Amino acid sequence: MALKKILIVDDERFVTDALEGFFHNSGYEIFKAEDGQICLDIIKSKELDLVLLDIKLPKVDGIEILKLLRRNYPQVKVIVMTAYDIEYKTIVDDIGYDAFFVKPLLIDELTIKVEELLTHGGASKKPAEKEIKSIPKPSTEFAGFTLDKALPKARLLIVSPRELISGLLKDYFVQQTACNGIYDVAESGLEQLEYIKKFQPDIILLDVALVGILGEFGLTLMKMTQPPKEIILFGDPAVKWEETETLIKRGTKFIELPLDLHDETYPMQETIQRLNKAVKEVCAKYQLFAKEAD
Amino acid sequence: MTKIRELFHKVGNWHNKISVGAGVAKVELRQKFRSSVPEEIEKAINRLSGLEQHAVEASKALRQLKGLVYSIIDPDTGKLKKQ
Repeated sequence: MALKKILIVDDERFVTDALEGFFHNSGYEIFKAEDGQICLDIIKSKELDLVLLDIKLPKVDGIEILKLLRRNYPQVKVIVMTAYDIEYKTIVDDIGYDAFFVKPLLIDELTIKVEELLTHGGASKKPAEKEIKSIPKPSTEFAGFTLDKALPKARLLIVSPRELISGLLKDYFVQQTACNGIYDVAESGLEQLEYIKKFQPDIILLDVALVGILGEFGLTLMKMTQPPKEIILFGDPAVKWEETETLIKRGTKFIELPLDLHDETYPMQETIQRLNKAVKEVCAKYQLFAKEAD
Repeated sequence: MTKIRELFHKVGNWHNKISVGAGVAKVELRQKFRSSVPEEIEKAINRLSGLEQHAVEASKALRQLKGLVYSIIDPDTGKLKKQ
C-alpha cells in the first residue's frame, strides 16, 4: 500500500527536520519546505494527503497557500500551525482548514490529529464555519421574559491579550442562534484604548490580564461622552492584579476562565454560558433589548 | 534595530523549537525502548515531557507580556503610543 504523503511547511529548518524524522519513522512519506515557493512546487508536483502549514513564510505566505489548497486541492487535509494565532485566525477561518494548532506544538497532540485526519478523514472546517466545538444551546428564558421575543441587544467589546480567547468569544456572541442575543461585537487585544473610543461599547468584557493598565483604561473611559454601561471581568484567577480585587469588591462581575484552553476537561461551555448570562443581566439592567423591527 | 514585533516572534519560535525538539526526542526514546524502558531512560523521557510543558507555559507568559507591551508601545516603531 502506498505511503500517505505529508508536506511539512515551516521557515525554521530545525522544526521541519525534527518533524520530518519523526513522521518518517511513523510510516509516512515526507516532503518539507522552508519557504512558500518550494511549498507551491511540491503541492503541484506531488499528490499530497496532508499539509502541515505555517502561516508566516518567506516568498509566498501561508494564507495564499491555504487559499490555493482549498480552491484547487480540496482533498488535501491541512493543519494550520502558527504562532500568530488569532492575528490571522479570522482570515484562515474564512478560507477553511482541517485543524488549527497554536505554537508551541505538542508532538503527542499533533500526532493524534495527523493520524485522525489520515485514517478517518476528520471533520473538515469549511470556509467561515466557526471554531467553537460545542456552542452552548441558547436558553429560551431569562429574568422572567422569553428571549425569543425580547432579545438582548448591545455593543460588546472583548478585550484580551489572548487572541484565542477573544476570537472564541467573538465567534460565540456574533451568532444570534448561539447566544440568543443581537450583539455588535469587536475584539481587541492590543489596541484596546483606541477601540473603546472608536467602538463606543455598551459592555466591555475585559480579561483580567490587562487590568494592570486599568489606570489608563479608566482615563479613557472618563473622557468618553458615552461610557460603557458596565465592565465584566474574566480570566485566570492566578493572574489577577491587585486592581482586579478592588473591582470585584466593588461588585464587578468576574468569570473565571483559565489560561490553558488545551485542557479538554475544562467546562468551556459553562464558562461561555456564564459570560453570556452576565451580559444578559447587564442588558436587562439597562433595558438593552431589540425592538420588534430588529 | 530589531522591531519589538519581530523579537516577540523570534522568542515564540524558540519556544516552538524547544517544544518540538523535546517532544520528538521523547517519542523516539519511547519507541526505541518500547519493550522495556530502563529507569534512567524513563527519567529522561519525563524530563523531556517536562521541557515540552515548560515551553508551553513560557509561551503563554510571553503572549500575556506581548499584550501588555503592545498596549503601551507600538511594536513596529518602538515608540510609546499616544493615550
